Amino acid sequence: MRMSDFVLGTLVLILGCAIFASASELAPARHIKFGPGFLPSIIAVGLVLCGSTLMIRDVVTNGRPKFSISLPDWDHTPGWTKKALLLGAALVIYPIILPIAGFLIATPIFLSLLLRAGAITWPRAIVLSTITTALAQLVFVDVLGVPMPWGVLQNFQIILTVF
Amino acid sequence: MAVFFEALSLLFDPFVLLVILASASGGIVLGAVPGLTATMGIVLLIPFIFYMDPIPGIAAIVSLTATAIFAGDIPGALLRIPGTPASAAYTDESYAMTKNGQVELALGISLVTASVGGMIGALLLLFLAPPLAKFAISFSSFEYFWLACLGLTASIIVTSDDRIKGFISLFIGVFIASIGIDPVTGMSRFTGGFEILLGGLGVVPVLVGLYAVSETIRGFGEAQTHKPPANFEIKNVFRGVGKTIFLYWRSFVQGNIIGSLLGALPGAGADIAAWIAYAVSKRFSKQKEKFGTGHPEGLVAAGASNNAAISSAYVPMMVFGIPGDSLTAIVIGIMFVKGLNPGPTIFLNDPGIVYAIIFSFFLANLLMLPLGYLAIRGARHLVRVPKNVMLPLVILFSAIAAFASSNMVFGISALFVMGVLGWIMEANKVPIAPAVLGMILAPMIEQNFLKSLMISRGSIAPFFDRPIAGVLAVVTIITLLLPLIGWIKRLYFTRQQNRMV
Repeated sequence: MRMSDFVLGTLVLILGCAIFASASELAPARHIKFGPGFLPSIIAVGLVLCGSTLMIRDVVTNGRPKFSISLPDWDHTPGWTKKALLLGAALVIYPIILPIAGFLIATPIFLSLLLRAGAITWPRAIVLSTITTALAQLVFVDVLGVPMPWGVLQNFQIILTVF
Repeated sequence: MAVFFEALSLLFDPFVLLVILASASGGIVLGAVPGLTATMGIVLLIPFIFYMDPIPGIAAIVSLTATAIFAGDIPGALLRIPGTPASAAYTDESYAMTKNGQVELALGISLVTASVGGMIGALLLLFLAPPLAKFAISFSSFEYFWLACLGLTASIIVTSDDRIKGFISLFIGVFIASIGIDPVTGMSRFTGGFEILLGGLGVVPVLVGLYAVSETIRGFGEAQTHKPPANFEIKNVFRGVGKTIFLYWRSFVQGNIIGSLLGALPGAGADIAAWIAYAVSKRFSKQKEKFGTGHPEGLVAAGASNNAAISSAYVPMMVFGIPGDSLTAIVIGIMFVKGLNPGPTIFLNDPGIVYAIIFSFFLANLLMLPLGYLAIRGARHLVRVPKNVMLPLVILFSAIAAFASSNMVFGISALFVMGVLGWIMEANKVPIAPAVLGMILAPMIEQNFLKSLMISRGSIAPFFDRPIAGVLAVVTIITLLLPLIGWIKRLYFTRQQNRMV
């Protein structure tokens, strides 16, 4: 998502102000002069200065503020809307269903959505994602011991663990 | 001399050599898989090490660490997933070389500079451990503060284009680091009342998200994702490496010196060393404008400093019993269990064992060459996978890495959010590198600044009147002011030229 420097500068300025407001509520303890809000306040001032500079620079370069937001590299590729929706759905859904459904169920769904976003047909995507999940389970969970969630398959953990 | 022969005879035992080979191989695998770290590998090794003698036990840790640090460069170059925060310093450069069809050279430089850099670090450990340790022990919170500030200025130097956007990135990184619990007072900051944010976002989700996930999001946007990438052949990784290192020998030497010096500082280590080595190489290069486009010079410096720092991290550990990082802290624990006493007396009481450990560094870094070569040859199959299949796999590996680092699904959420942020940042030409370095160094800056103020009872004089702190302060301030000085000079000369016209 590409923005003009004026828009980017505005967002950075707003972020800086928000951080400063939040940091000013972090009072230092009685025995020390600088508290938890010290470094964030410096960051906030820095962001405000940088954001303002970007905005001024944009106005000086273009003669007036340039308000533009566009999707770079995506909006001319075929089927980009569907691709973006599938990708977005995958990134949002996976952390939600992973603890509930478990790694073995959530991951094939996640991978299928991503593979479909890459224009792979649904049958191929499902097969590839199932095989990949099984391999990932074997390597990361069984061999290396990464404790991925089992979710609804918690009671079948012993059966489904190879090692 | 007799001590050296004793050390060699302890090291060249068939069982010890087998352990070194197995650990080095394990290190390559661990380092090459994004999200798995050397520390994780050592934790897996501990049950075995308890039943071993001191030499094979510690040699196993040394070998695994040395090869794992290099192996993190492989996914960095091929997939833009840095294996460690240190390798994030040159991930963009090596990935750009890969995209330019120079994947062999990129990986070859990483391998050879890592191996040679590690051996040079071990040489310094062998001959200069006591003076290096004295140098390390002279650093207090004042010096660490300026060192971290110098590291941050390095992040601005590595930003090639827009300095303002470089600073924005830096501040974003520092802000991300401040989410969670304040390290000095223990108060929560920017958590919005969510307990899950008390632990912060974590280095792995942020690092992998900003680099790898943002790259995959951009990759999905490309039109031709079903074809394998062109110009990706990995046959002879050593071709052209010697010539390249010889051509940029100054950067290579700088990288080794910086890595060896900074690696010896407890708590500083390879992370800062690689970034500063890269920045110094760029600063003094005659081809500054090529950095970031796939130029090997920065890779030569940072690759060497990475592994040199690993060896010199053992200096404070052995000489003073002070751990330089989590790895050396584990090594100290194991040494105590084995009846060794890390500290000044170890060179007197157990010199054979100490030198055997140092020699194991040489062996591990030598073994890195054939093992690393095999790993790179094995990884070449990765680049033949069509992008529309590879990208989902990269995101999956990144998600597993993020989960493994925190044992929480929240790590995956943080990863994806950082991925989207990184994508937006790069689309608007806001570089990612300063954000990563800001995140890594912010805690060091804040803790040491506040600690120093407590020591000096609020006075800032000690920040400048201590010798090493003063030098670091001057270097940092000059480095920060250099762009401004350059701008004033250009303005002056332009006006002079206009007057003459």
